[in-house]
Amino acid sequence: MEGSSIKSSDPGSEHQGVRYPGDEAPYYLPFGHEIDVFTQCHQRSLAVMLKGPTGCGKTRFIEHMAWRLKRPLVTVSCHDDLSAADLVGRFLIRDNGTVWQDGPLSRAVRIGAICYLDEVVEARQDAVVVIHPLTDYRRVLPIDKTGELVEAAPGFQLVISYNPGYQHVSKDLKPSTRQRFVALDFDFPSPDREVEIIIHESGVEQGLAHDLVALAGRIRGLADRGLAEVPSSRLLVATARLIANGIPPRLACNVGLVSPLSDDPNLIAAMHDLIDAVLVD
Amino acid sequence: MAEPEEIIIDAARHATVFVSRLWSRPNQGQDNACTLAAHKQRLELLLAAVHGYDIRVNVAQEPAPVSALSRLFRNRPRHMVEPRALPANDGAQIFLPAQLASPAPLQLFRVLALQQAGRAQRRAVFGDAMPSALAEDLFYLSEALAVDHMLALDFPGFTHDLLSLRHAMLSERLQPALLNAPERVIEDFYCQALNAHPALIPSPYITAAAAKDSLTWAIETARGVSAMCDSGKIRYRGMRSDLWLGRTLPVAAAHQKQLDAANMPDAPAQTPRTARLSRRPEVRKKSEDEDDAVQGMWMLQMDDPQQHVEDPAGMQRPTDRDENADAGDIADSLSELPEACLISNPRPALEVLLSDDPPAQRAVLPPGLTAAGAGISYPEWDFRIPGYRERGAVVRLQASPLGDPAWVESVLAKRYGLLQQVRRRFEGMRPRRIRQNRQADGPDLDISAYVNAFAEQHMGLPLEDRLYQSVRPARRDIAIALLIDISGSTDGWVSGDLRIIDVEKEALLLVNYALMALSDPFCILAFSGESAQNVTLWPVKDFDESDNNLIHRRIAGLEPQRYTRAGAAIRHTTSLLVARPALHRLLILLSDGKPNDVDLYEGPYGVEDMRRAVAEATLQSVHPFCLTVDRHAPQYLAGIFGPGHYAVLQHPQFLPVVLADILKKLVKT
Repeated sequence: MEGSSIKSSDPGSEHQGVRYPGDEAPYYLPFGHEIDVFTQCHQRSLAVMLKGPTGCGKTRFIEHMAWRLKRPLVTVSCHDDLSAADLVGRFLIRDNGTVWQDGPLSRAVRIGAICYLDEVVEARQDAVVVIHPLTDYRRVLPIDKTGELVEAAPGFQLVISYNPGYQHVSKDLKPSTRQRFVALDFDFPSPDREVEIIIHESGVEQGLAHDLVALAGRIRGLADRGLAEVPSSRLLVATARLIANGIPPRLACNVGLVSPLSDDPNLIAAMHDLIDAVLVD
Repeated sequence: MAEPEEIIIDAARHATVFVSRLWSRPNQGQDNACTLAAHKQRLELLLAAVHGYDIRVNVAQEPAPVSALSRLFRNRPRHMVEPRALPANDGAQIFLPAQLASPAPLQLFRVLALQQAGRAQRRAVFGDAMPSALAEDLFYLSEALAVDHMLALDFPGFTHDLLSLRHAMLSERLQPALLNAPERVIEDFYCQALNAHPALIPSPYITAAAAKDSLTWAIETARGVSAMCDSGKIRYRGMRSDLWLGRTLPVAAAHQKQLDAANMPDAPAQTPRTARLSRRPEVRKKSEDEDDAVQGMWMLQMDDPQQHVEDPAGMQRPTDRDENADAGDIADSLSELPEACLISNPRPALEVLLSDDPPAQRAVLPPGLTAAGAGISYPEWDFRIPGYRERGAVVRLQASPLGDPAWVESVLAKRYGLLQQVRRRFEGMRPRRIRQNRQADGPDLDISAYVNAFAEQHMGLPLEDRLYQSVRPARRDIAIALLIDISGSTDGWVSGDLRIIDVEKEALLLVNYALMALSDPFCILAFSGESAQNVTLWPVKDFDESDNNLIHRRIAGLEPQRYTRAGAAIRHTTSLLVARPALHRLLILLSDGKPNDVDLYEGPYGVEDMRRAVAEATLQSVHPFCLTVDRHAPQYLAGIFGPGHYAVLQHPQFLPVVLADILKKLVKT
C-alpha cells in the first residue's frame, strides 16, 4: 500500500532501564475517566492496579501517563522466577570485591519514577510482598542486604497490571496486596474506538480496519471453545501494519491473526472460514 | 541390559504408536471433503463464533421410504417430494446432509449451516403457529430471504456462495405444468427469491426485521393468493423444497418443560439388547388430544392376548412384552417409521437402539421420586438455557466394597514385569526444593565459589563467572486425583480374558504402588450412577490414607455399574483437590466413552456439562487430563478438555504403562 505511513510515537530516551519522556505523546485513546483518575492517584501518591486482557492497551496507557505527568518510567515484565532480589538489587562481584547493584524497583524509588510491574501475579510471592511498604503511607523500600531504608523520591508511583482471566487462582493476588491499589479496569475497545486505533497505529483504510475489527469480534466468540487467548487490539494492529505494508489482507490475517492464536486444526479452519466470510476479494 | 519382556513391551509400544499414527493419518486415497463428518467440528466452531453460543450440527435424515398405503392416500404427488436429505433446523440445532455432491462442498456446507442457524435463531423467538399451509410456506420463504439478506450484509465474503446455491437450485425447480393455480403462484414466489441477489429483498417480499413481520406478510399474501386462485375449490398441496429452503422441524424446546424430572427408581442391573438404527424416525410433536380417553375410530383391545394394532405413538405393543425379541428386527421396523413420539416408561429398557444422531431431547418421567439419603449437590450446566441448574446433580459417597485379596496377589504376580516397568518410569522423580551453587546468576553470592575464584584469580587462572546461589522450586508441590469411570460400558471385553474394568483395576493397582513411592499426595475415586440424583462415588483412596492392603482390596472390589454422569464426579473431585494445600493439582479422568445417563445427559447436554465442569476445574487451578479408550473421543474430547489434555488409548491393555507415562509427563511439567 504505497504512500501509507506507520505512525509511531517518540519512545523517548532510555538509560539503565529507565525511560524518560520524549517530545511526542505516546498515542492513547481514552475510553472513560482513566486519565483523570490516574492523574489524581499520582498527585496523591496512590498505587494503581490495571486489570484487563492482554493487548488491550494497559502498557500504552502507562507510557502515555508517564509522558503526560513528565515522569521517568521503569517497566518490569514479571515472570514466575522473578524474586525480590531481581526487583530490589543484589551484590555483584567486581575485580577486588563486591558492589551493590540497584534493581529496577530501587532505581525507580530513588529517582521518583513510575515503576510499572507488568503481570505482577506471575512473580514469586517474596517479590510481591517487597512492594508493600511502598504502597502505604510509609513509601519506603527496605533493602535488608545493605541495611538501607530508601525513602521514595517525590513523583514515585507504583503501578501493577494483571490479566484476571489469564492466571490460575493459585496465582491470584493476595487480598492484603490488592487492598493497597486503586484499580482501573481495562477491556478491548469498543468497535468504533478499535477501528480508530487501528487506523492511527497502522495507517490502513477505514473499510479494512472495520473488517478487521468485525473479524476479531467474531473470533473472540471462540474464547470458551478451545481458544486460549482471543485476538487483542495489539494483534489487530500488527495485522493491519502488515496489510498497510503491502501484504494481501487474507495472507496478513492468516499469519498475523490466526496462526499466532492456536495450533488446533479445527479452530484454525473455523477462523479461516471467518476470514472468508468477512473479507471480500 | 534390557530384559526380554521389556524388549517385547517396547516393541509392542512402538508398533502401537506406528499403527495409531497410521490410523490417524487422513486417508488420502478417499475424498472425504464432501462429507459432513469432515467439516462438522469446523462448522460448529464457525456457528459458535457467529452466534456466540454453541449450535450442534447433526446429520439430516433422509426421507422415510414411502409405504404402499401412503402411496395410495398421500396428499402430495411424487414430484413435490424431495428425495434427498435436506438441511433443517429445530430451533436449537441444525441438520445438514451427510454428503454434498458439489464442486465446492465446504463452501456449500458453510452457507447451509449459517442459513439454518440464522433461521433457528429467529425461530426460537417466534414459535410455530400458522393459519394455513399456504401462509406457512410463504412465511418460510420470507424468513429464508431475511436470513440470506443478513448473511450477505454481515458476511459479504459468502455472497458469492449464496448466489451459487440459489442459481443451482433455480435450475432444479418444477415445471409449472405439474402445478395447480395456487401452487404456480407460490412457485413464482420461490423462483423470484432464487433469482434475486442475496443482499436485496425482491418485490413483493418485505424486509422482515423479525419473524413476526414475515408472519404478518405471509398471512396477508396468502389471503390474496387464495382469493386470486379461488383456492376454496383447488387444494394447495405445498411446494417442493430444496437445499436452499430446507426443512423446518418441530421446535426442540417443546419437551423441555419436562426436563426437571427427577429419578428413575432403582432397577436391577440388566444388560439391554442393542442394535443399530439405519435411520432414526424424527421426533413427532404430540397433539394435545391424542392421549384423551375419548374413543376414536380405532378400537384397541387392551386385554391379553389379542392385540393387533401397532402404534408408533408408544402405546403398548405385543412386542413390548417380548423379552426375547430380536433387537435388530425392532431397529429395522423403527427405521421405516417417518416419525415417532417420545414417551417414557419407568421400567428399564429392554432394547437400546443406537443412532448416530440421537434426538436432543428425551422424554422423562414426571417429577416425583427423590433419592433417599443425604448427598452433596452440585450445579449442572444446561446448555439450552444456557446457565446452571442449581442442585443439578447429587453426589452420594459410598464405602467401597472390599474385593478378594487373592486377586491382588495374582495380578501382582502376573504383572510383575509391568510393575517394575511402571516403577522405573517413576524413578528419579522425588521432588525436593534445592539450593543450587555456582550459578551464573542468582539472588545470593556463593561465598565458597567466590573464595575459590578469588584464590584462582590470584594464581593467574581465568576468572570463574559462576559465583551465585539460587534456590529453585524443584520441589513439586502437587496433589493428584485419579477419577475412574466404572460405568456399565466398562464391562466390555478388550483383549483375551480382560474387560475394560479389569484393565482399569490393574492399572490402578500398579500406579498406586508407584505413586506411593513418590510420596506426592494422591487420591483415587471411582464413579458411576443412575440419574442426576444418584451420582455415586466410591473413594478408593483418600489423600492421607496409606493402608495399602485396604486400598488394594477396594480396587479389587470395583465392578461395572450403571452410567457415566461425569460432570458431577469431576466437580466433586475438583472440590477435593482444591481443598489440598498444593501448588499444582492434577485431575486424571480414566474413561471409556461419552458421558451418558438415563435422562437427557446422553448427548450434547452431558458433553456440555462435562466441558463446563472441566473449565471450572481449570479455573480453580486444577489441571484436568482425560485418558480414554473410546476411539471416537477426539470428536468430543478436544472440545471438553482442549487439545493436548487428553489421550486416546488404542490398546487398552497398555493402560498401566501409558497411565504411568502420562502421570510422569504431567507431574514433570
